[in-house]
Amino acid sequence: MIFLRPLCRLGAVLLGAFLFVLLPASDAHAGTPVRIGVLAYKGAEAVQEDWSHVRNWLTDAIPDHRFILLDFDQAGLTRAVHDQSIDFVITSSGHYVALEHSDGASRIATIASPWALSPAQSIGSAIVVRNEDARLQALTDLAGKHVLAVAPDAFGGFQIAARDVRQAGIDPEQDFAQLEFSGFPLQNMVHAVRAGRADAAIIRTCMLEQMISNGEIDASALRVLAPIAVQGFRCQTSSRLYPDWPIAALRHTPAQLSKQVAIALLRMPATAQGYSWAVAADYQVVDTLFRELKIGPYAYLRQWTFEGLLRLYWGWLLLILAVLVIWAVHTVRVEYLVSRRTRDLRTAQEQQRLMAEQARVHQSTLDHTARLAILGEMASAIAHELNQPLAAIGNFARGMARRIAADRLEPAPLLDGASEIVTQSERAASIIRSIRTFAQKTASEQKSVDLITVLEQAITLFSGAHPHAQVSWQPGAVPATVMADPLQIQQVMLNLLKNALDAQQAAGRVHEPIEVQFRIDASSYCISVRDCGCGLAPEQFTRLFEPFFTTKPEGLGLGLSLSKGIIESLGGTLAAAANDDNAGLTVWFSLPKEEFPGAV
Amino acid sequence: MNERDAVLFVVDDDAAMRRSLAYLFDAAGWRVQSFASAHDFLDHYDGHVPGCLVLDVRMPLMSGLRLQQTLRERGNHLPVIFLTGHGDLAMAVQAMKTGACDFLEKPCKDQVLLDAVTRAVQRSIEDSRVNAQTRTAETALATLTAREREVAELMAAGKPSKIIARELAISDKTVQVHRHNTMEKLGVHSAAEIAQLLMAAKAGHPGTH
Repeated sequence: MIFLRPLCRLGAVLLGAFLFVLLPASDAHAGTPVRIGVLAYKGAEAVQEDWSHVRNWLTDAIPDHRFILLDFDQAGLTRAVHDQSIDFVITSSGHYVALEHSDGASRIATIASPWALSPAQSIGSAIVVRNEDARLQALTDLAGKHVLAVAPDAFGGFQIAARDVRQAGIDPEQDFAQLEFSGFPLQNMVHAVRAGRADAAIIRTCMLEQMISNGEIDASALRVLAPIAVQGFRCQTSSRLYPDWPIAALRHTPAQLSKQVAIALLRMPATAQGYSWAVAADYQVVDTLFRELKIGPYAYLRQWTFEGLLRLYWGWLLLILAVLVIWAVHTVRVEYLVSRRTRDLRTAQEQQRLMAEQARVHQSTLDHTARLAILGEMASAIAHELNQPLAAIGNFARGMARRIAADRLEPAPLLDGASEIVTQSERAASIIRSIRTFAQKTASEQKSVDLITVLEQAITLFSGAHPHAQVSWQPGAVPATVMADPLQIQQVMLNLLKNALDAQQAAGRVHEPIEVQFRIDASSYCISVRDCGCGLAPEQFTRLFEPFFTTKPEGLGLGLSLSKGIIESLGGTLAAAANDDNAGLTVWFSLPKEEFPGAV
Repeated sequence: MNERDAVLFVVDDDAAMRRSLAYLFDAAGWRVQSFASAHDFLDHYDGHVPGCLVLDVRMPLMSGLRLQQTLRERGNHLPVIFLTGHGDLAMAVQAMKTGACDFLEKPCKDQVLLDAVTRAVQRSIEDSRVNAQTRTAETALATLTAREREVAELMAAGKPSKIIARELAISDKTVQVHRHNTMEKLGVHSAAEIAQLLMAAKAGHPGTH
């Protein structure tokens, strides 16, 4: 039946609006209209019936004003106050306090009822139960019961009882089996309890007594739960008591009019039922109730509970939660990605290291192969060169044998021959040694080496193999250390010298010197080998460093490409250019000084 | 002129090789002169001393083959023995065509080398002897007049004076005078000797007969 409430409210609003339009027209005979909004807690007809004498009294007492009664439900009345479509409001104490907070309603008098000695203690909640229902004796017995109330914002019809029930230890909003708001008129609720459709009904005090005296209900059928005895209060109440209804002026109500109304009301004699007007009571207790229940003007307090916050901001909370979750997921994902990337990176580095190692081993093998290839290309020259000391040794030895056989035993020539044999055998041994050193398969080992010494060894080996070749070489007496494998440098140098000699041979200029120059730059040493050979055609130039490119019939075409690779692996460069005078080629390479590794 | 007067000329750019050859030849009793290059040898050699040339085929500046050619161009027939470390057949063929005495691969047995040297020197001495006779004959023949040379040629052919007179269309008496003068100038006493002289003169020019 909760869903019926908005409909009831709508009906009341429409009715109010209808009256608002009709009444002035029907009562157009005198004065300025003054509209009094009345909370119709017993239904619209009851308003005119209950309050007409007040209207008449005021109309009579205050000339030039015509008072009109307008009935509203609580929401409609609140709106009317807010819209300033009424000038005075007669409403429940609770509603009044709410209006005081929201719209500055200002009480000017309080109803004095016949059943209460003091207007300040005139209204409470009576919780009506069936007389025979033995389960219900105390307020706490309401737990788990089906309870009817007027509306969440009904003062006597819910809020007063709610405060006392709560103080008894039961949360009316949670602990009842069902809390049903059935709206005005209240009589229906009483009948519902009577009929057993509900266990209890919260109504304003004296309501039950009125119904009994009107004969609407049998007095023995119902009783008030946990009645409290209050001196001077003639109705039964389940709760403490609060001030009775006030009449309040609104902000826009003229002060003079308020004063006139207040005076008129205080002077009004008691009605036949015993109602009159008293000086406005103190509604602070109502305010306390609101504060305690966190309702009415203090509804915002309710919002600050966790539940309230949750109810109000669940969307935002959900959003924040979602953001947090997304953030957490993102963080975890980033962590995961970072760790995976790190792992990938480490794997890649390891692979790179392995590849570099393989490349190094490969390069070492290739270097060795290349050195053997160079030796192979030089083989006939080397054979010739070895043949010379061997042939010389043979000649000396035979010569000596002949002298001895002929009995020509002068010691000088014999000694001469013997020492010549020694010299030549040493010469042969040194050639073999240098070849073996060059050809040995050693792992490439970089160490601090004196470049000049290494170059000299290479030139000596070359000159040994090619005695007719002229190598012009005047290094300065300077220390020139580089980090390198001396064999590799010798290999490069031998290769360049061999190329130079081959080029000069092809050009028929074998006897002309091959110029080797040594230069010291800021961070590197530069060695150039200049020949006056046949040079290169432009198209040959572009392919100079390609593997297996060669201009020599017996060449492998590996020398220069390998040499370039070696020099670059040592952090240097290798390049070639035609000589300015267009005769021959100059090939040079640079190596970083030991103190500037990789600086070239 | 005999082997004692012959000289072995060793030309090798390798000093050790040069010295060792000189040492070996010296031990075998030869007179030796050694040179570091073909140019040094050509500068030094006068073209008359008999002997033989021991050459390394491969030398810088001027190769052994080139030196041999140069000698021949100068009309010198000094025998050449090539030594090679390479056993290059094509080179050997060319060397022998140009008149090399021998082509030996290093290292070779000393006896082989020495035998080759001996053969070459003997040839050289023989050449020298022939050359000396030729020069003597040519000198003597050069003193004859044209008519006397004609008479000498016909005498060498064994023709009697009457025939010579008829062929030259001169008197028998005049032939007798030329004959007497010719024999006088050449210092010979018979027609056979004149024939020998003429042959010796021609022997100095082997390519011409």
